[in-house]
Amino acid sequence: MRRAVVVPMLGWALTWSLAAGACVSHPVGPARSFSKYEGKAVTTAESALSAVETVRLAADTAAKDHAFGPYLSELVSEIEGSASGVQGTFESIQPPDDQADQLRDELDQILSDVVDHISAVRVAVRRGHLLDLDQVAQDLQDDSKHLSDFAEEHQK
Amino acid sequence: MKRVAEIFLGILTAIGGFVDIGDLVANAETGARFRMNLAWVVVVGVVGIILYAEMSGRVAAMSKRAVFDLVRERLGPGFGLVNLVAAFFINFLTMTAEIAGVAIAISLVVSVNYIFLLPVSGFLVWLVIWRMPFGAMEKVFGLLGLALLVFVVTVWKLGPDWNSVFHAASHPHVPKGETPFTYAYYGIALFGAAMTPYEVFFFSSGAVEEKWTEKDLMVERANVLIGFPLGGLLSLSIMLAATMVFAPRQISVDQLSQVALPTAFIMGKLGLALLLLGIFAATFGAALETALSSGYTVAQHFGWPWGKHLRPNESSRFHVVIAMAILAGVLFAASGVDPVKVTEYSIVLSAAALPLTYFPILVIANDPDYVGEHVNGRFTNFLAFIYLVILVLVAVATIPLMIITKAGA
Repeated sequence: MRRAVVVPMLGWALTWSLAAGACVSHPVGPARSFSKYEGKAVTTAESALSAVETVRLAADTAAKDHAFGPYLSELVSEIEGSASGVQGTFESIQPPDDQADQLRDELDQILSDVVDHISAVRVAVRRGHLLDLDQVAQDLQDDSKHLSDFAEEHQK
Repeated sequence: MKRVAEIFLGILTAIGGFVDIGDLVANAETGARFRMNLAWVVVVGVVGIILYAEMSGRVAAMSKRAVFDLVRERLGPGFGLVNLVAAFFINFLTMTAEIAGVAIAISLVVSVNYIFLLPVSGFLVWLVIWRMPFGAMEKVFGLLGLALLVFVVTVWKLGPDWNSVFHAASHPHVPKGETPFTYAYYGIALFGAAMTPYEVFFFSSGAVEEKWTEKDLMVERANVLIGFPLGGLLSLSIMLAATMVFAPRQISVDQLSQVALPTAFIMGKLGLALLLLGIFAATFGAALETALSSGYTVAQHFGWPWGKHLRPNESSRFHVVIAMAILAGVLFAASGVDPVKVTEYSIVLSAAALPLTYFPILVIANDPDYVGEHVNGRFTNFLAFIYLVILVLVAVATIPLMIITKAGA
């Protein structure tokens, strides 16, 4: 009976440990070949695109006077944190070869622009410039196109 | 007339209390990523929770005893302890997510990082459990949760082409860019969100707290058979709003705050205010239920006095377990874990652990020693057996799918 109880409990303890570890944001896996690295770059671009589009939608909502400042401030801050996290995670992946170095530079530039432009929106929100937010977020339109093009070009 | 009012109030409470952080996150995530291709899972999950909750409520009303008390007696202390450890762990993850959800809902109104609001959130949950009577607690947050019906209005204002919606929902397929594994993984997440074990622990313990008898079975069935499907419609409206607003923009849902964006975009400030109230009520109500469920499961297993109907000094160990669980949940949430990830894991693991409590309830619901003449009918047993098979398959598939898909990445 003791064994019958202890074994499932150990199983649950293991699951618990795995789940707790995985709940921490942005776990990074290695990329041992260019194709693996390229796959991770596409995933990164897609995550950044989601962040960009969320902020653009938030900016349109604000410009229509459809949302409160505190809500927008928290939303944009969280998305900014996500975008920075996505960039940090991608930068921490070791590029396996020269081709990967080029890819890294290309995407890193786009991601830096994304984070800068989202930061600009966050600053405008905190200054209360809600009705002009769609203007502030205009640069994100280009970022969105760059990310879409990047993901499409490197998609398998 | 009083009976009708009681049934009506119960149904409203069941609708408002149906949605929690798991439903908010899972439905918005899957709508954004899979559009309506996983809508059928919500239907399967709602039928499952109706079956599971109805049996548990009936067992509690007839035997005057709740789930864990009966599991230990009927299936022995060894199985009971394994069951308790699994249920307590998953309930703890869910409670952590709900407490974080409360803090996030407050943060979206006061613009303070949710981490700083976690102690406030945990304290409020403990205070309400300590001070507010059971019936009032259940009704207040259930009724406030009805504010989430603003999702239904959002969908109506979005004006979907209903023929296309029904066609998409009734002809599911794996969307381009996804694999059958991610499709199955998110299906399990949705299923776990609809069929969460704590709802049943709370429902059956609540039946004992409120001293249900055979006469209350009609109210119980009305709550479950009408309230839960309407709650399911609310879940589907969250999914449809995400399908219409997020999917075309390639937005994936990583933050709880994103869930409110379609409503703000379409409905404006009043809609947003109602939605934030609804999210607060839904997560707070679920935080109360999961925190109480921590105490219920442990106290019922060990045979300690339990329940809010007793004075705290008569059920001190029950209250200590609740307070310690809330404290641990606040500390875990504050340790830097991602609340949305915690939510995802809690609902997926909930689905995996469901057979552990579902099977004993099915056995007891067929035992006349516990439920007298109110044993399962043939149709109920037929459906219950099909669900047992589904639950076992889900339990077997969950961990491998979690590994293969890197938790749905």
